[in-house]
Amino acid sequence: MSEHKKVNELLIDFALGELSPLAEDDVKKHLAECHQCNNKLNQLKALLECTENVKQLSADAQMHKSAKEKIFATIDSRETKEPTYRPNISRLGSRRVSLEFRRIIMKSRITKLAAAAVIIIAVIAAINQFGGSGTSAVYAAVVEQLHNARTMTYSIVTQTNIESIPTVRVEMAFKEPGYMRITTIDGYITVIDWAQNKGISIWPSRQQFLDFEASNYQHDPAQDPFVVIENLRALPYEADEILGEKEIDSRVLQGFRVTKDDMISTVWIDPQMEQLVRVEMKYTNAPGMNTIMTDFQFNVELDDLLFSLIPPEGYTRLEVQADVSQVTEQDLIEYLRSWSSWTKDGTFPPTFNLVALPKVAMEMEKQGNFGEGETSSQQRQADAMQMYRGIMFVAQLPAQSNWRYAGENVKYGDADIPIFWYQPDGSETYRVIYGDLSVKELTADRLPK
Amino acid sequence: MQKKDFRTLVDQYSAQVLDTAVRILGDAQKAQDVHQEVFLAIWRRWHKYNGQTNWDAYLYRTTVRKAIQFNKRLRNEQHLEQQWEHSFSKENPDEPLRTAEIQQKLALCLARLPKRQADIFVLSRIEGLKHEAIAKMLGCSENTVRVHLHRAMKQLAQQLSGYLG
Repeated sequence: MSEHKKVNELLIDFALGELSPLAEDDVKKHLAECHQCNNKLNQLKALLECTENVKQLSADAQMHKSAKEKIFATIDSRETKEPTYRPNISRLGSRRVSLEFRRIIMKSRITKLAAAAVIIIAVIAAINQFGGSGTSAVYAAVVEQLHNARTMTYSIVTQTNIESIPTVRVEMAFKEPGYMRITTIDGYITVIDWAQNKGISIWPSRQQFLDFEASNYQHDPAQDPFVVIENLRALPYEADEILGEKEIDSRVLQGFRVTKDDMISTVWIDPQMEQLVRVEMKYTNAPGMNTIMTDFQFNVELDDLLFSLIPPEGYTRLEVQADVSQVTEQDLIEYLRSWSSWTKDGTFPPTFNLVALPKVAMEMEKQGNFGEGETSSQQRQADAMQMYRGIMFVAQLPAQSNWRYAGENVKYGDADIPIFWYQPDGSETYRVIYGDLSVKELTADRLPK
Repeated sequence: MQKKDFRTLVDQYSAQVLDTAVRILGDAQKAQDVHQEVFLAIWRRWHKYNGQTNWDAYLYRTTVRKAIQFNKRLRNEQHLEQQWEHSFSKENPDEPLRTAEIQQKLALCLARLPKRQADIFVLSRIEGLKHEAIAKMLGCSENTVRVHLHRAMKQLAQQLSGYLG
């Protein structure tokens, strides 16, 4: 390396006074005879002098006072935005269900039985997207963008490796303080207002709507989800893995991987624009199933009418009132009973994993495991409600309840086989549900291994 | 945490946030806007903080980023491009620029730098933080801080060469 080049590389450290005395002498000697390096050094010194001047600046007392007052005035005028109770559905989300669930079920007899509940579950499907903890400035910038978003829209495409299950595309829209709208490509619309804990699903083709309510959720700030947007906002500032660059749709994107529990999220960002372009999610316990999120837009104007809970004129109601604060163990038992009545062999649901459940239900349907026959619309509503309440009971159990489901391949009536157990809050014993749907209380040492 | 806790946070860090924004943006009104953005973003997520947040580091990082983004956003709206051109055409090339003008030009140059270079330059040369503190704050090595600082200085010195000294 020439002396000039060598000194050139040391000029910044020289300007900053960070060179050793020996290296400093070498630079000085070169500077005495190199006009070019002298010019560069002068530029650097001028920059440093400028920043030294800037460093001395500060706001005056009046500015400080008015800035603070502005903040306080704003928060006082937005009383309702103070950390509000939002439905605690993150636990359910962590055992997320695919949007595909609704489709699968709609094609089977169970579908007809559970349509209403499944619509709600489909909504919940969108809840849990991210989590985890690498490092990248671009990635962090996108996370910050998410954190600051007042509105957000994007598309979700859910695919499975099952040929007969169609790919489903859903459009999502969010608006603060807690509105969410989901539109499927075939026109189903679901709107939820989390501030009111109310929602509406609209079926334009049937001129029907379903309004639902889920109030008085147990508040758990640590897990407060505010559905998808909050989960997106929960993205850690650092990814687990930096994947490098890849060209997707003629754009060179930078990839980051975030892993949490059973979900692996790959986040693709346009590094130049610091723009979130694509998120791919895979589930370790549902191989073949993946969700792709694209077309992200932040802070676009979204009309409040998009989030109206008022049904279109002339639509008829299919009502479900679900005060999930009151769901009980009995709701779970009734759900288990209902499921066993839907299957030809009287078995219970193979799983409570809401990601795996759609796939399993589809396979069961293909294999003809569900019984045939029509039921009344009233019965379908009642069963749908029961399914929803049963699932919600489990979804709301805290992690410390150590709940476990072991009902796969167990038939209704198998009185000696425990199929579900959990430890109620504050109880020293476990509640154990058997195959005949009887319940006993057992100490931990007597639980099945 | 309750509203009174949030007020305490604002009382404690309002000056730091506003002064940092003033130094980066060179414009009182813009600085106040950034100040507002920083605290309201925290307020919106207040229930998420668990008492373990290192507010000093968090607020430095957030303020610097938001202030730089503030200019970038304007630039993206093309307004700043015109301002840039206007700002860099001196009526009298021999007349030295005032600190406020230089500061605004610096802010514009910072908005053109890669994010991490800009953040590190501000934290180091304007906020006067040590490499070690910056590395800890941004979750990178001290060497990374040094490399980005050098790159930023090289770029900025070149871009501002006609207007400094």
